[in-house]
Amino acid sequence: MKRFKWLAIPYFVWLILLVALPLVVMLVLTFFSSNGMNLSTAEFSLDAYKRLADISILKATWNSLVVAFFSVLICFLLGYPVAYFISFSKLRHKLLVLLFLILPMWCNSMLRIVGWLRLFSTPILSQFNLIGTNSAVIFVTVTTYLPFMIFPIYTVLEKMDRSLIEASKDLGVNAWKTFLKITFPLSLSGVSSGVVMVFLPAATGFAISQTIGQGKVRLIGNLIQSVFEKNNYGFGSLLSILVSLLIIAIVLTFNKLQSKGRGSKAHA
Amino acid sequence: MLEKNGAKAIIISILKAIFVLAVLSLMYVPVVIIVYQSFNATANSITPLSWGGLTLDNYKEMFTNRQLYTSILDSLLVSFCATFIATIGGLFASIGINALDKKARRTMDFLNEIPMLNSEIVTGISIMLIFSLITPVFPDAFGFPSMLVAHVFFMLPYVILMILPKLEQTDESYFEAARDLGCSPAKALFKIVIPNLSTAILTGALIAFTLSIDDFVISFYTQGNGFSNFSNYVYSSYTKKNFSAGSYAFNALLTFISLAIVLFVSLRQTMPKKKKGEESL
Repeated sequence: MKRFKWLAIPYFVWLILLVALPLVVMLVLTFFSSNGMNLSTAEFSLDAYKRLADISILKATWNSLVVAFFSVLICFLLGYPVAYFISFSKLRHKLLVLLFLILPMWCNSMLRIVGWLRLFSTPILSQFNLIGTNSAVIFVTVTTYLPFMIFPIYTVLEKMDRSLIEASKDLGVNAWKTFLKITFPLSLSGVSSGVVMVFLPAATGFAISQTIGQGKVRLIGNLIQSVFEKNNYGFGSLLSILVSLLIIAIVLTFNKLQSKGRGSKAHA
Repeated sequence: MLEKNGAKAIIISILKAIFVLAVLSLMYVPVVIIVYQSFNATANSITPLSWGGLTLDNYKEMFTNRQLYTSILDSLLVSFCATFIATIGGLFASIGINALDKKARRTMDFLNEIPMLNSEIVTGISIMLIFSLITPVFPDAFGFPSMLVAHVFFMLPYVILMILPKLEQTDESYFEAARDLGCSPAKALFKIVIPNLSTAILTGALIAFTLSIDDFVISFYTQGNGFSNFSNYVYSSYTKKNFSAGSYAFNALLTFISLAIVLFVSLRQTMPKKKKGEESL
């Protein structure tokens, strides 16, 4: 089937047009002060780079990382046991349980966020002043993206060779140690894709922080959105490039750490 | 001793079930609120979630509120078209990528992952910038065309990641056999290779559609000229305080339909299995 090589070309061109070209456009825009894409009034300036020194940017970035970190952590702490219990249960209809996990995702996520907002502002819950806090944003992020953590872990657990666990138990290793030494290390690839899939939207989204945070929780996504709304494309582009670099750096470090951990275990 | 262990095992499995159910119900709280609000006569009152009596007016809103039903129709239009294009495009791109030699293959694998690793907000802005560049030539580029391109763009990697592994497992000798028997390469591809991938193609299309119909951020940046989608209607109307309770009704309806499908599938699954169990007895 080697003769079909040329079929990859259109997709390659498409990716260059929609990934590489925008990056170049953004890079060029960072050096100009323009009103939106109106290039006739654009002037060369380094304003965007000067604005980077603003403390609010650092605060928003830090806050995004905090919200994303706790969202990922809670998703993992809730999601791993769920995936594990379903996968290792003797239920005959595991698939049905999984379908019930997918079902809430068929409800529009924006409307689910509005639902939480309405619930948080009922007389009983409004005493706790949840709206506008980091914890409420983290909570809603967790409930929205939890399936993204459960599914990859579940898939890996299902594909795992169960005889390894039996072997460990036969050799007299207790259940906890078997889990920590065999099951968990073998499921790490699922955990890492789950972590990335929750981390990305949690760190860069702006819908949840805007709606539940009511402007009090400012994440990097909110910052970029408000900058573009003010038609400051130069500064917005610079922030977008920096966010992409930060995300790629974090994901790559995470993947490296994970493969390193696996490597050392294989040697031991 | 044995009995004690048995009791312990039962308690542990009950605790496990409670944990799973608790997490599940956490995800169902907003769904319940949406269904509740869809029947609530005072769904939009200032006191949140106060029960104002049972009504079906919210369901009528779906057909009378122009803004709401155009956003629903726009959503469906974009998602169906984009799924169709992305599935076909992803299929042929996968066949192409699969045929590449090792070095080119690695580059494509890397490029294919970029849209998935890029944050949604940057993807949305990227496509918005490209379309801003071409608006002087095509003034109507924003709206349906920009949103369609954006959705196809973020769907393609998912479709390809579903199809490519299956394609790698495909035995090439079937293709060779078809060729030897006089099929043209294209005919062999359509008659032998592609039918073999049907499950992967279907899964890819389903994932793509699910992501597309729910998308907010990327559509936020690529909407325009009066063309938007449902998520963006909810967001903008909620912030502008002209939110229609018909939105709840639309989503409750979707939930009922998917619940019916799930129950139907599960019933069909459980029926024959029960019979098998009896046979083995």
